Amino acid sequence: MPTTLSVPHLPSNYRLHIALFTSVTNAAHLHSQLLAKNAEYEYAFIEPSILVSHLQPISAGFRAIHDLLDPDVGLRTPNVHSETVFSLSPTHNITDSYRRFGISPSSTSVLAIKILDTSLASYSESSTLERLASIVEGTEVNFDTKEIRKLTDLSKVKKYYKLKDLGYVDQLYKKKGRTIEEKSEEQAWRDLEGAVLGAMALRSLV
Amino acid sequence: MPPLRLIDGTLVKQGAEAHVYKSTFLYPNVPCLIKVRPTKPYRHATLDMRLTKHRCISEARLLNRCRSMGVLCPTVYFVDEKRGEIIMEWIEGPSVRDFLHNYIDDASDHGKDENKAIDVQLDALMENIGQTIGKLHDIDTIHGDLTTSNLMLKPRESPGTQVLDTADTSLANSDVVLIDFGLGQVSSSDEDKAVDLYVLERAFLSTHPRATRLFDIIIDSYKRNCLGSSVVLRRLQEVRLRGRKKSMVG
Repeated sequence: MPTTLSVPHLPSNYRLHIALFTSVTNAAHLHSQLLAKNAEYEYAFIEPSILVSHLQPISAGFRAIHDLLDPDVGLRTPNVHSETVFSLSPTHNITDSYRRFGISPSSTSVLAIKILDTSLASYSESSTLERLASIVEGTEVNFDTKEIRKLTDLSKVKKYYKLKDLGYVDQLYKKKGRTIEEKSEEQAWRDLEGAVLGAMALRSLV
Repeated sequence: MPPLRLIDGTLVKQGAEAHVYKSTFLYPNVPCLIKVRPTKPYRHATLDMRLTKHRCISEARLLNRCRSMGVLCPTVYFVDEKRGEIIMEWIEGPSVRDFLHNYIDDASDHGKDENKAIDVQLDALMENIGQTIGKLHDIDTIHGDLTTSNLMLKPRESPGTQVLDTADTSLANSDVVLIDFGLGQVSSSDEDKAVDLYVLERAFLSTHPRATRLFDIIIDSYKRNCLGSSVVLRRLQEVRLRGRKKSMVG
């Protein structure tokens, strides 16, 4: 089942509807509809291989809604969904952000997010979720960190988020011949998550 | 600037520069800390905004730098630099300051043998602090306000670990986490690093009169762990003689 979520600090009428799919067969179609600006296909379609945790896309959605509602900031892309994809990026290049963090015609897994103002008369939770579950042709899996990590492409994440300094101190000490306590796998994921969330949060400041 | 939203959290600390709230980020079960620098009505509005923005940005950058380079500190979740707000990871656990106070209060209640056991743990904690500051300086980052309140003890997350709140809980399972980089900067100068240590020394000796021995352990650990320690410690001798300010102007 897709997840519905309202986020602390934002007006509670804004809700994120999220679903994660693997074995996706219609990525090319979804991609072409995005390019054609078909309003029926106005979703944030995210490439899951650049995700390291479930907080990452929600954090991007938080940023997008925040900027939408903030009269001093505003959206820098056409709508809140494209803004969500852009918010995953650590840089200001919008085209690059779509290419790197959005789906491509060859994507085999997709994270779809629909952000809606639930106070609108036209809003219906059940039809939104139904549409979300059917728009992507693939196998729906749970939206959680465990499933996301199965899809992560670490080299892509490190490249796109410019994480060559990740764990720099330990590398430095290792080079000087010290023995460094090996990090647990979980800890390594946490460190990566922290660095990625930080890189996203600091986009406006770069 | 009008607030976009009311900060729904509980005020946990209020300093001269900022208010700190405890709240949640994205999910009700992800605790976070919101650091807000409120506008100061006595400052010119334009200047006020520039200062607030600048300090907010510099703190967020430093936190992110340390976090990704491998020095333990809170993860930055969100920055609204115009309103001077930073949302960051909540660090659970007491500050070293509170911890030491509890320890010194408790120490008189225990027998001699028990005290010895706690002493061994305290030594390990000081060792850990020295190591952490060594790492910080090895990535050329200056904290600027190293006090025992800005060093947190975070219990390592592993199944079955209890939240650390008393002196009896094992220190072996805790990490030292640096917080509050509001006065920090990136610098490779020995002077800045020596002043960082000097500030900690003053803070240590003034709040914990019995802590001279403890601070010596920190310095010793720093000496062994920090790559550039020898020059910094030599410089520390000079700083001790003349005080924190190098230039005598002002």
